[in-house]
Parts: sequence; structure tokens; C-alpha cells
Amino acid sequence: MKKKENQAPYLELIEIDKFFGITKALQKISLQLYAGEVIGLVGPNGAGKSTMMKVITGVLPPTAGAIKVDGKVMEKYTTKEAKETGIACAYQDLSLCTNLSVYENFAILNVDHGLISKPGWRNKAKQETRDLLERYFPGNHIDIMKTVEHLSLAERQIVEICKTLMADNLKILILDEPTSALSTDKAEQLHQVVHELSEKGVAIIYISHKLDEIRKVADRIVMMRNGQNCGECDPDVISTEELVGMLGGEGKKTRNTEKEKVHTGNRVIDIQNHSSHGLYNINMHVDRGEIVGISGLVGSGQTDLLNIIYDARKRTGQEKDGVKVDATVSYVSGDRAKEGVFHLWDISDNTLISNLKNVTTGLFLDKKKSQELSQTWYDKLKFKAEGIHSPIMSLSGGNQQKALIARGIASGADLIILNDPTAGVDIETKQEIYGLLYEAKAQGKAVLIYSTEDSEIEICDRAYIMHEGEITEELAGENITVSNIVKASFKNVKHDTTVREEKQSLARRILSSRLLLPVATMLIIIAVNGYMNPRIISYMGFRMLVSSAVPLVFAALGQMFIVVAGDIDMGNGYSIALVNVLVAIILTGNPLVGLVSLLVFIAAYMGMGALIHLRNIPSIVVTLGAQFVWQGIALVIAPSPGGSCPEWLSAFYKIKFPVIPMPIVLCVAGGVVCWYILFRAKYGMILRGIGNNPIAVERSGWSYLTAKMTDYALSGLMVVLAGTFYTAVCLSADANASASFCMLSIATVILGGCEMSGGIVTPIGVVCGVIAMSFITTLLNTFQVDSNYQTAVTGLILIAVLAIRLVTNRKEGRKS
Amino acid sequence: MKKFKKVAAIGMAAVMAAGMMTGCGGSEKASDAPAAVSAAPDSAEGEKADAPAASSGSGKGYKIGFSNSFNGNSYRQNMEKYAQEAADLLIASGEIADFKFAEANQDASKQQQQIQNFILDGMDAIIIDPISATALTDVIQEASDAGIPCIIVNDGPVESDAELCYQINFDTIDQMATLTKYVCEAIGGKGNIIELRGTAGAEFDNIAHEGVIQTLKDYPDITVVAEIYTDWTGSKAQTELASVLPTLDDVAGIVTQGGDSYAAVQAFEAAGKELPVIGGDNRGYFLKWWANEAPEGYDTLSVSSNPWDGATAVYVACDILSGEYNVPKDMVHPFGVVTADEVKNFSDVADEDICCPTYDREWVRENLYK
Amino acid sequence: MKKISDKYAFIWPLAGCLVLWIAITMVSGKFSMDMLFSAAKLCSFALLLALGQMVVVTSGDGAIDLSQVYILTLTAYVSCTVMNVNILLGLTVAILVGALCGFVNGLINIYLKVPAMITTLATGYIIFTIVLVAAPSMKALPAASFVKFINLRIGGLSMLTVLCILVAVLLGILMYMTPYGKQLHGVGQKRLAAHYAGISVNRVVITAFILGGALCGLSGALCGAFNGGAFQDMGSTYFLPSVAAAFVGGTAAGGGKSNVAGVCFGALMMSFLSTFLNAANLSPGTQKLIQGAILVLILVASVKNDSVKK
Repeated sequence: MKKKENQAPYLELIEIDKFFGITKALQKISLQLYAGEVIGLVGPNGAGKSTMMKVITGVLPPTAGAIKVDGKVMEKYTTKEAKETGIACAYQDLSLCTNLSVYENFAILNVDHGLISKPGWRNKAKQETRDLLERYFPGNHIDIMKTVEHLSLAERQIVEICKTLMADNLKILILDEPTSALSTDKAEQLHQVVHELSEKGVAIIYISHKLDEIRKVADRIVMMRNGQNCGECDPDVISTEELVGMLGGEGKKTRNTEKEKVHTGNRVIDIQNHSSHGLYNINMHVDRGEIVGISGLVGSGQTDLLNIIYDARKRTGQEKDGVKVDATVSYVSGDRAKEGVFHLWDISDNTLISNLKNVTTGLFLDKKKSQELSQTWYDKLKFKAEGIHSPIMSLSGGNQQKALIARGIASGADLIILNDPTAGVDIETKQEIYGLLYEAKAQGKAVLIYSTEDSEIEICDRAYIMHEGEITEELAGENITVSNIVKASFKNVKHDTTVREEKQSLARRILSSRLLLPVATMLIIIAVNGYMNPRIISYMGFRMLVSSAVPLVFAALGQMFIVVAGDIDMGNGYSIALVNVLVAIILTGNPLVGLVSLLVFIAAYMGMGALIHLRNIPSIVVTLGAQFVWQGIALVIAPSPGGSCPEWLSAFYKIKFPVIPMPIVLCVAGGVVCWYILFRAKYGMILRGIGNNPIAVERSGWSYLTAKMTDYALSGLMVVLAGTFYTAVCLSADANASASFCMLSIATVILGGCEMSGGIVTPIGVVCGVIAMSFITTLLNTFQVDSNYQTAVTGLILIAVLAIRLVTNRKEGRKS
Repeated sequence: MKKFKKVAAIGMAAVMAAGMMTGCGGSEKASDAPAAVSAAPDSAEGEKADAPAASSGSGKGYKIGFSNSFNGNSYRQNMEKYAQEAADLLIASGEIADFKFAEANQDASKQQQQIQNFILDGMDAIIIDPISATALTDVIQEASDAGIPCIIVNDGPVESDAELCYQINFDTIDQMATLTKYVCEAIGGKGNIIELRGTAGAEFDNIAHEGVIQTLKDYPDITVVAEIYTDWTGSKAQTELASVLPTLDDVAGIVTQGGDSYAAVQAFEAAGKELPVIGGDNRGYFLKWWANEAPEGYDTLSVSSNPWDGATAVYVACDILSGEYNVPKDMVHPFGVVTADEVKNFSDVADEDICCPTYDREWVRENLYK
Repeated sequence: MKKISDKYAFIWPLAGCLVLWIAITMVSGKFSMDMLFSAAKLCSFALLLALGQMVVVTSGDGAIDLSQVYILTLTAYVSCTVMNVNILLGLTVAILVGALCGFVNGLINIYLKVPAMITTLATGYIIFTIVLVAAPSMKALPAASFVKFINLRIGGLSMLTVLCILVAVLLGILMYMTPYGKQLHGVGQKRLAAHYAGISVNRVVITAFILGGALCGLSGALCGAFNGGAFQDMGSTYFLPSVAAAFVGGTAAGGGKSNVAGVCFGALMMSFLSTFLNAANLSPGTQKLIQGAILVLILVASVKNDSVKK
């Protein structure tokens, strides 16, 4: 609702500046937010919208300017204060745990943050979630029991928005491109929600590129351009075309550029009717001797286009899928940190790496040639540094970029692709860079440049503007103006952009279930064994064969708790040997001391987890070293095998359960208890969430450190059980015996359906996987295969399962 | 690329399957198809398996399994070889129908599993070279309860009071006492010695060590400066010695359990140190070296276990099963001795031979069943 | 100070060697150059493995090769067997077998996208199985003339040490003076940047694995000869020293940085360490414990530097 007369703003930004070094992201931005008002925020590339949102949510502190809440100037303004002010932002991608179900995601935020939960919390959470979703998006049909991973994009967006709405004390809601994946009717429902909230007095900042939508929803439209205020207008009064015009500014060229025609007419890129993931019907070409630009709103497919052109360089002159590239290609990236700079090297190495051919004599790198060549480029690009051997990281962003451009041109390629090369570069350097591009053009090279800064496109001879994966406009010569570019950026596309919902068939769901593989393998192998030797299918048979698998089951479960956090335990086998030694030698003689030593062991595991988390060291490194520590301690206590199994333990292990042998009871019990901890208990939900999206879980008020330590403690407990049962099986201690458990535990965890990246674990699958593995040994024996093959089979299974999973993930379009 | 990965995944599965198939084709053991098993499944309460049906054949057709804790050195490989040779003779006469090996690579729970598999496979008797004195107690009891005799050989004795547990051991104390005494006398009753042991935890090694300790009580001026575990394998001995020798002063004598005497010779030569008195074993390369290359008047004694006990065990197993002989629960197998005078008989044996006396069935019946 | 230690990363292991040498002298009560030569000789096998590990780890992306010791065992058996026919052939075949194992590792890592650690864990066990199954039918004793060859001494230095120095020099030339070496270090720093710089990342990584495997093969051939034959777990003693040497010698755990001299001194230092522990008469258990603790400290220190940067 529109603001009332004389209403004071709830939040006020007063002349906010935000500079990143020389980059002025925001300059003297002022904004007033009134309770209950819906503001539509629009602006082309580089307007500064996301920076401003980060300032409002307290993520970035302003370089200058003031923030006032309810009339009071805020001395300190961080995420904490922003939360207290009642500001919530619905992010596009970041705040859901994809491995948890919908209601669990909500529960993380809502439920009481203690370690133990009140019974019945699950049903309560389910009801609350259902109510919430129904309230804002009636008739949504979202299955709250489904994991977020399996939701469609639209459903995910709805859940995301609802989650944000759950914040208590919501005063300001920020929606960033909220309807990008929603179908029309769902988008309408969202607008209804926005309307309701504004009636209740919540202020809403609605950011979108869909100008028609903004005009419908907003009470007031705020425009930004180049980090500055660019005006406000009333959506009832203005039309979309006028809006675009205001955003684009005047039709004059902002730059004074020289354009000499050097067009030599030799085609280096020829794309006809190309469509692929995210790109629709692309038709474009680039010739030698010209600079061609690509522009449009960020995320319209420009990078995808550059990548398919770059990938086509390997098939010089051959056309595939409508794409033909007929030249040598070099690539200059603007994302220096991720895609460009080799941070350990100096300017010379960074420059010459694409051009090693020219500095090689015979088999070796020629130092003299390298020196000469890099000095030439150094002088040409006028680096502000000490010399060609200055480390690249000591240079400013602009100079680093110059090095990348030098690399691209020095490679001698005929086509130079530049991906937003002047991001974060000062004006002077930009001019120098343009000069280099003109020079390349003059030498007959082709230059293809994608820029998020619309005015930069003016240096081009021709430009293609993209929107939603299509080229909406080709501009040439005098027509390349910012206003034309902006207009084309918002132009409607030809292909059908409505979002369709996909349903998964039941068969598909069964096939992609993680439990299928381990359970099926186990049943098949038991069946084959039973066929070859029916004696196995009996109480005695099962008891014998499963009894030696029990330690491995707990070893695998121990590994699983580490994997749920996304780590891996390379010390798994030797830690079990240590427990074996502790039980057989210390516990047997002196139960109290033995018990204490086992508790110390679990504490050591927790300590390991803390070390890995606090120091940010990869778990493989720490556990690899820990492996030797465990082994060393075991050898100190038991230099040669010895000790014995405590009476009570072997008596327990030999108990004759009716119908089901004790070993199977133990395996099932282990699996069920772990399943309960991870999937039914409240904290288990947190453990799984941490493995998938720790930031989101932390933001909901949980401690990452505590969760990690709990994971490791549980793993330690499983290792203790594994070692204890191993003692019951082997009746003595041997510091070297269980070394092979490490690979077996990893293999069975993977076979059982867990993901090494964390968050996704299947205790039942793991238990089935272990039993399957141990019956494989029996199978090998029956076929009179050398039992040494068992380790090879385990290794092959490990690789095979990962390979199969790679294929199925690709098929489903999942990110592995 | 997608296709390639699919193909690769299928290829992996195919390789796995193929590996298993070739594995079963490649086994050289006497293999009938797994013998017809009784179709009646066991009842839930009963512990005893059905008595295995004897398969056809002119003889008694016993099925015997041999569970070896380790076959990574030439002694153990020879033991298996002699056992196989003895079994082949008996297969030809029909007395044995099936003879299988299983090797556990020094993993206790693996050996247990293998013996359990033998029980479930319906073996008539199981020969065991045990990994330790205690790890197999339970599974031997299970075999005995199922009516399957276990014959412990080579690395026993094991702790077992199962009814059907028979043990063939060496008089290890005597064996090591003989060797140790000789070496101690040869170095004049005083000086530094190194004790080379076997695999840590094996019962044979424990008792052998006992024998050495007992003998050394009589020689208070002799110090053991290093104890090294070599798994009775030459190359392992050489590695270990190589890293220890530089830190030691003069070593006058070496006491060994067998399998590493020649390695000791080489280690000292490589380190450039003076050759001590090395207790010898019965391996070809040591005896050949002793006969041909040892310095003039080099005095030592070769005392070692006899891998022929593998064959002995096969004979004993059949005799137990036939019920015609009164086989005692504990038997002593002789060990082998070669003196300085006798060594010239071995001057051109093959490197990898093990020079040991062999015994035929009659001899076993006459001498072991006392 | 940091700059010097970064550029000359071999200073730390060199200092370690000196400290340990003094410690050994104090504990054993005698000073000998012989100690130096003998430790150098003994560390040769771990040194070659460590150099191979260095190459693999330098290719970046958390690559590490856990199958090295099994490749060493396999190639020891292979070389003993083939050298019966012809010494040079045996040596070549051993190196080729090692290279082949490395090639398989590389293929699985790159094309099946299995993380290097898991790949080499699995292939290591597969190779070990091949050893176990084939060992009884392979010859385990080395060719006598080859043994004599590696036992030669040149001015006090063992032939093994000479060979190691030769390999280290050649590897250094490859890593620092050839285009491949440059590319390897680029790939190790940032695979994506290397891709956009026009480097064929797949080829570089697989070649790194092949190189590492070949070095294991050479080490296996020498080890088999030196120890009077191959035996099944001959590789296990070298795992800890080779991994420790690679990292203490200045190899960045995340890739992109290597130092051949540092790794050599690192291997020597680990050899001194185990001699010291032996001389101090510590039990095998305590020795392992100390070595393990030192490895953890080394790994923690070396990784910490990298992660701060990223």
C-alpha cells in the first residue's frame, strides 16, 4: 500500500557509499522504506542492487553514509542488528538443505535448539509447515515429506519464500527475483502474499527484471544505475517503454571511441540455429578484424555461449551442432580469482603460460627467450610493478587483469574471447585495455568481448544482446548505445518461457533410490550362495557367516558418521585395532581402567573433529596421520599379539537367540539405532543438514562445531563397538589385524548409498552392503577362487559403484 | 562422453564377473564340481550338520580342507606343495575325493571364516596351520561338534580341548635349544647376539623364543642386542637388518628360527661387517653358500622345522577318518639337523629347495602314533 | 624470512637432517660419515616414492597416490622374474608396469571422476591382490649381477644414492625447465584457469600419474634387488616415510608447488629419524607413534599455509 502522508520511514539509507578499493559500487545512495510499502527496485547491470541489499541486511558495512532505523541512527549495523530490525531476505539458492525434507528445513529454524527433543516435535513441525504453505500458496500440492532435492524449481522457490516469511518480527522482506521459476498462477499467488503482507504493515523490496510484474506489484518504483540513484516513479503513471527509456538514459554515446574499419572478412566464428542447455536458436558470427560484443542482463546465457565457442576450438573448421570455429582461440577471464590468475607465479609466468611454444628451444624452456618476450609485453602493457618477476598477487586488480589480457594476446591466437575482463578495474587501465584490443583488431585478429558494463560495449563494431538464452538484438556501429542495449536486454524472447512442472514416475523413483543397490546386491549374493550350498540357509550357516561381519558393520557405521559431515576417516582400520588392543589387554584385566581408556579414545576422536573444523585442515590429511598414531599406541600397549577376550563379552556374543542368530541381531540393531539417531532424533536432522548446507544451518542458530564434534564422537563410539566385537570374534589383540577395514568401510559406505560429499547417508543400506561384501567371500570360496581376490573385488566394487553413480547423476541432471 | 561412462561402468561390472569366472577356472586344485550336498536343510535348533555323504569312487572319497594362515614364504609354499603331492597320490587311489586350500594372509578373522566355510561345505577333515594359539579355539570346537576332526600342524600348539582336535607339533624347545646352544658355544660363551624371530603372535614363535631364553640362562655373558621379526622370510630379514646394523657394535652370533639365515649372511656382507656365527636353516641357498663360499672352517649348525609336515598331516587326516588306527591327540614331528660335516652333501642344491628328510606313510604310522 | 623459506623450501628438511645427525651421534656415542652414506642408501626407495608422490600431488585438486607401495611390491616381483631373462629388460618391464598402473589411476580419476584418494585406495588393493595371487608363481630372488651392480660404491657413495641423485636431477629438469613442468604447476594451482589458458588438463594429470607410477616401478626394481628378493609386504615400511618426505620437502598439499631438493632432503631426514629411533632403542610401537605424530604435525603445518591463502 502506498505510504500515508507524513508517515516516517521505518528504514532509511542516507547517502550510502560502498567502495571496493577503487570500484565505487554505491555512490551516495539514499532510500526510504515505509512500513507497508512495496518498492520495486529496478536497474540494469552494474546498478548496485545486490550490493545495496547486502548493506541493508548488514552483510557489508557501508564505506560512508548512515543507516537509520525508526528514526534512530544505527551506530553498529551487522547481520545481528539487521535481524533484530526485522529484515529478512529470500535468497535464490542458498538457504535450504537439499537433503532434508521440506518440513525438516522449517523445523531447523523453529524447533527448540537443545540437544534432546520433546517427543512429538515431528508431527508438530509437519502441521506447522503444512499450514504455512497452505496459507500463502493455497492449493500448492507440495509434499512436505519430500526432500528439497526432489522438488521442482518452482516448488523450491515457494518453500524458500515461505521459510523467509517464518521469521518472527518480520518488518522488511526482500525478494530477489522471486518469480523466475514460478508459473503464472503461482506468481499470482505470490503477488497476493505480497499484498497481504503489505496490508499488515510489512515493507517489501521487490527486485526483478520483469518490468510488467513490477508495475503490477509495486507501490513505488526505485531506479538505480551505475551505483547511483536514478530516480523514482509511480507505477500507475508510467508505461514499461518509458521505464526502459529512463533506465537506459539518453541515446548519446558516453564514450569517445575511434572506430576504424579493418574488417578483413575472414569468418572465425559461425553459429547457426544452435540450441543447447540454456541457449535457444543462436545465430551469430564473428570475422577477423572486428570487435564483437555480447551483452544483456547477467544470467541470460552469455557465459554458456562463450563456453561453447571456447570448447569448439578443438574441432577447428568442423561444424557441430551448428557451431563452427575456424581459428586458434585464447580466453581471458574476468573472474581472476577463480578462473584466471595463477597465484603462486609471477607476471612473467602468468603471461607466457599460453605461449610456451614460443619460448621453448628443443625440449626445454629458453630462459632468455622467456625474459625477452615477457619484458616486451611488460613494457607494452605498462605494468605498475617492480618488474617481470613481481609476484602476481602483489599487483592491483587492474594490473592482474592486464596480465591476463597479455596472456590472451601473447598466445598469438586469432580469436580472443574476453569474459567481462574489466570488472573491478580502474578507468585508466580500462582505457589501456581498450587500446590493446584495438591494436589486436588492427592486426587482423577477432575479438569477442562479453561485458556486464553496458557502456563498455560501445567500443565494439557490432554487438549481440541476449535475454533468457536468446539473442534479442544485433546492434552495429552508431546504434550501439546504452539505451539500445538496455532496451534489447528487456526485450521479449520468442521461445516459450513458461515453466512446466515435472512429475517423477514411481518406477523412476524406485530405480533412483539409494537403497536399491545394496539391498539387491545382498539378496542376490545370498541367493546365489544358498543355491550353491543350501547348508548356508540355516541358523548355523547364517550365524557362522555373519559373525565375522559384525565388526565390519560397526566399522562401516563409524565411517558413515564421518561421511555425513562430508569428511573421510582414513584411520578407520587402525583405530579399530587400537580398541581391540585396549579391550583385549586392558579391559580384560581391569574393567574400570579399560572403560576410562575407551572414553578417552572417544574424546580423542572428538578432538580430531574439532581440529579439522577449527583449523580448516582436510580430514584426509589429519586422519591419515592419525592412522599412525593409533597404530603406534596399539603397538606400545601390545608389541606382539596377545591378550584375551573378557568372559562376559564372549558369553554375550555366544548367546543363542531363537530364530535369528545373535550376529544378525547385532547388525540389525546397529543399523536401526543409527537410523534412529540420524532420521528420527532431532539432532540427527541437524547432523545431516550440516553435511549439506552448513551455512544455512548455522544461520538458523546451530553450532557447526558442536555438530561436527558430535559426528566424530558417534563415529568414535561405533569404532569402539567395532573393536569390541572384533575382540569377541578373534579372542585376542593384534595391532595389525584390522588394517584392511579402512578400505572395506569406505567401500561399503559407498555401496550402501551414502554420498562422500556429505549429508546423505543410509544406515540400512550400509548394513546390507557389509553383509553383501562378506557373503562375497563365501561365494569366492565356493567357486574355489583364491580368497585373496576378495580385496580386489572390493576395490572393483568401489570404483564400479562410483562410476555407476556418476552416470545416474548425469542422467538426472543432479550436481554430483 | 556420457556414452563412454556408461560403457565404462558396464565394462567394470563385466570385468568383475569375468574375473570371478576365470578365477574359478584357473584353480589347479583337484576339483570336482562342489559335491552333491544333502538337500535337507538343518533344523533351527540342531547344531550338528548332517554327516556328509561320501561321493562315488573306489576308495573312501574323503573331502579334506587345508587352512593355511600364511603362504608368503618358500617354507609355507613347500609345505602346501608336499601336502598336495601326498593328496594327489591318495586321490589317484580314491581315498581322497576333494582337497582344497585356503590361505588367510595372516588375518585371524579370515582364517576363521575359511574354516567355517569348510564346515559348511561339508569337509570330512580340516588341516590347520593356525595363526595363533587362541583365535581359532571357538571354530575348532564348532568343527568338532559337527563331527569334523581338525589336525593342527606346523605352528601349534593351540589351546583346545575339543574332542576331535589333533595336533602335530615340533619339539620347538628342543629345536631352538639345540641351535642356540651350538651358537653360544661357537662364540665362546660371551658376546653380542641377534635373535631373528618369526611372525609376532604365532605360537611357534612364542615357544621358540622360550627355548632361546631358557638356553641363554646358561650363558650370562651373552647379550641379545636386537630382536627382529622376519616372518621367516629372507627379504624381510634383510630389510630389517639393514636398518639396524649400522647402529650396532660387533655382533658375534645370530640365532634364527629358519628362513632367514642366508639373508643374514647377505646383510652383513652388504654392511661390510664381519661375519658372525649364524645359526643355519635348511634352505638351499644357505646350505649351498655354507658348502661353497663360507670362509674356511666356518662352524655352525643348521636346525630347522620340516615342511614335510604338510604331507604328514594329510596321512594323519586320512588315518583318523578311516578309524582303523589309534591316532593320539598330540604328536611330535621331527625337525631337521645338518652339521658342518654333512653340509658338503648339499653343495649343489637348487637355491629354492628346502632340504629336509621325507617320510612315507608307514614311517608316520610307526613313529607318530605312539 | 618467510620469502627465503618459501623459495628455498629445502632448508627445513636440511636443517632437520643436521639436527637428527647430531642427535644420533649423541645417542650412539660415535661419529661416522658411514652413518650418512648408509642412511642415504636406505632412504633411496622411499625417496623415489616421495618424488613420485610429489609429482602426483603437484597436479592439484587434492590428488594423492595411496597405491604407491603396492606398485612397488608388484614391480619388485616383476623385475626379479624378468631379470632372469635379461637385466635391462627386467628393469624396463618393471618401470613400464609401474607406469601402466599409474595410467590406470589417471584414467579412473579423470574420466570416471573418482577422487584420486579413493581411486588409488581401490587400485592399490587390486594391485596387492595381483601380487598375492601371482607371487607364488613368480620368482622372488633377484638376479645376482644386478644385485652386485647396485651394491657398488663410488667414493663412499652407494650406487643407489648415485642413481637417486641422477633421477632427482632429471626430474628437476623436467619440472622446472620444460613446458610440461610449467603446465603441471599451472594445473596444480587452478585447474579451471589452466583450462582457460589452453592447457589440456586431462593429459597433464594423467601424465603426472604415469610419471609417479614409473618412479614406483624403478623403486620396486631396486628394492627387490637390494633386499635379496621381493616379499609380500615389502611396501609397508615405505608408506609413512615417503608421504612425510613429500610434504616436509615443500610440496603443497593443494598442488602447484614442488621442490625436488626438498623432497630428497625430506627422505634423508626420515631415514635419519628412523635410525635415531633405532639407536635410541625405542620399542617399535613407540617408534611408530613418534613417526606418526611427526607426520601429523608436518601435514598440519604444510596444509595450514595453503588454506590460509585460499
